[in-house]
Amino acid sequence: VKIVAGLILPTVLLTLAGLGLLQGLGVAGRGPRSALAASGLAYLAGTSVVMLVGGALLTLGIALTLPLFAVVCGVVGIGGAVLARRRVLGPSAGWLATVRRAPLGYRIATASLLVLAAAYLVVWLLAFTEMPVHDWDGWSIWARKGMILASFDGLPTRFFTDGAYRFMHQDYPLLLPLLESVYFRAMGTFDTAAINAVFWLLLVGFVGALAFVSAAVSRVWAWAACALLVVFAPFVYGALGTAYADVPMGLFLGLGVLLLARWTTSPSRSRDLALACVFLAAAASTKNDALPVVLGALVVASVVVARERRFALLRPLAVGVAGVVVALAPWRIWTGVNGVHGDLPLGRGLHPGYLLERADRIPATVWALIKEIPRQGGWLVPAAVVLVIAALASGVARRAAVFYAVTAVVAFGSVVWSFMISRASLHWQISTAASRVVLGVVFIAIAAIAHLGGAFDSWFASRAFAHSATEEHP
Amino acid sequence: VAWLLLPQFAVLVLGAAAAANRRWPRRAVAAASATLVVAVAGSLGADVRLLSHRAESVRLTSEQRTSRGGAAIGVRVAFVEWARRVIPPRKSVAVLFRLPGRNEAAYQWTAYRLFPRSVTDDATRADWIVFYGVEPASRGYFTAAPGLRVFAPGFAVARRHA
Repeated sequence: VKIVAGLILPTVLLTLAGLGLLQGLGVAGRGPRSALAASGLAYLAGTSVVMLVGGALLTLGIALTLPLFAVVCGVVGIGGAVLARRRVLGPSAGWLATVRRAPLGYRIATASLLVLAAAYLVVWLLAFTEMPVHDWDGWSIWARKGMILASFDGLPTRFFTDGAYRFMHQDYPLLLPLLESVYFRAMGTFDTAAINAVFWLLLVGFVGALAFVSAAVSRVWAWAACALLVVFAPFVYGALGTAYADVPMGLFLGLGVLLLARWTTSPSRSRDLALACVFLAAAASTKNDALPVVLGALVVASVVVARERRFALLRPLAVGVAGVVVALAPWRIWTGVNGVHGDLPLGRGLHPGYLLERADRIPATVWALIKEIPRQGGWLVPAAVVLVIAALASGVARRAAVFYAVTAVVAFGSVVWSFMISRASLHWQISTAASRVVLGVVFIAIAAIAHLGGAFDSWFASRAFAHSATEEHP
Repeated sequence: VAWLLLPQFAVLVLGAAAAANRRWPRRAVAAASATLVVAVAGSLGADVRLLSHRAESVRLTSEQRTSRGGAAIGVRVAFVEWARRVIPPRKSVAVLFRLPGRNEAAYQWTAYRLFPRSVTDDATRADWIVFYGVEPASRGYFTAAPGLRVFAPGFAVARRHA
């Protein structure tokens, strides 16, 4: 009972904090139906903001104990709710409303698939909460750090600076371990089988968030198809259950990229930009791999905006970038002050001579990554490629298609670059990491499907409407 | 994992059908129904595999389940669990191996399971020494030394300040 309560309590607090934030930004409406529809997005938003704040406090030597966690959740949630009182919020019930509006045929097909997906998720939860974390990095890096953070009042410098613990990659950011530590504290035990439920909650939150975000612009089939593609993706069966940080990083990255792309196409929605920056900061605070992709996405967004001479939009974007930098700064400063370095020779990695010397690693890396993409994402990336090509050819959401294509290339390129400059043997890199590091590209593909699928849905719907209007009034 | 490509494929087919046909003619309904059957088969296939994994886990003892990660990488997990019971919490520990350098798998798993005890590379500053696959005598610890506890030949722990 204590373990179940220890899983539920932080989840509820994080969701309420996120809900307040969403209301404050004007993303979610008031009332229980709106709250239910936005709960997935709220959980991820609450997790992002509270853990970013908690991480900053940690670098100041203040542990995120349960009372402090509750206070941070309260401040974020109540602060957002107070802001929301000044706003006029629509009665947005998100994806729940689009289900009711859908024709019966859609509803039956979608409901059948959603029942299958829900059953699959329940079975996943039952299977993985019986198994303590047993994949190497799951226990050696992520759960270990979560246990350390849950056991000390503050950031125990010894564990994060001593050479005896270098193997746990002391430079990796702490969002995920901090989240695990909160659940460990709430459960009162280091139950690494139960901690799998947190990864499950993040995935379910992501699926709900996709539905909520997509439902604003598309009919039920579009968001349901995207959500179902995610649930049945092979990485859910495999990578999610390893308790590695790659899937959580991908969830934050995918949402951040989706919202950023939506802002470039509808810049009046500055709330999308604000929320995108929150998720992008969370992604870069989950894994170092996300940092170049986050920077790349922000640069691509600025180029897209500047290229169309919408220079006024560069100002809110600059504010968003500044927010991301402020969110990432505490951990970077702490590692710098304490002399904690990563494995990658970043300085040499930008030197042309060094890059040329290691250029022979590129073909094998690219081939290995391309082979891993369908193994992790199934049909996700091929579907996204088809949608991007269709968008470029037809002109439907062309700007967004360019954004996703370039961002995905940046994500892929950053992985190739990191494999190229790494001191580790290429064989070891490919065998241990290739299957995980492609998840960034897979989640950008998910964002592209959600966005472009919705755009094509609107396009089809408007064509059908025009066609029926012509038939009625020739 | 291949099972999951079926429901994913079904979702794509249904999505495309829904987008293209607002009113769903009979042929689209038939295609959608057939695809749903494929989706059910794929999804249930994955469910069955997950449930069999769960059944395997349930059959294990609590210690086997806890030590699964270490056992998977060839660590002598029974010794590590024994050491965990012998060494008091919050003490510092140095892990010694037969060969110079570290057996990374054993080192990382031992450090993981011995937490909240911390590990150190400097054996002269550790409260406890863990001998993993190395005879204590070869490192100057005699079997009669106070504070030495032997699990099996080559596997022992010793309190340094006994």
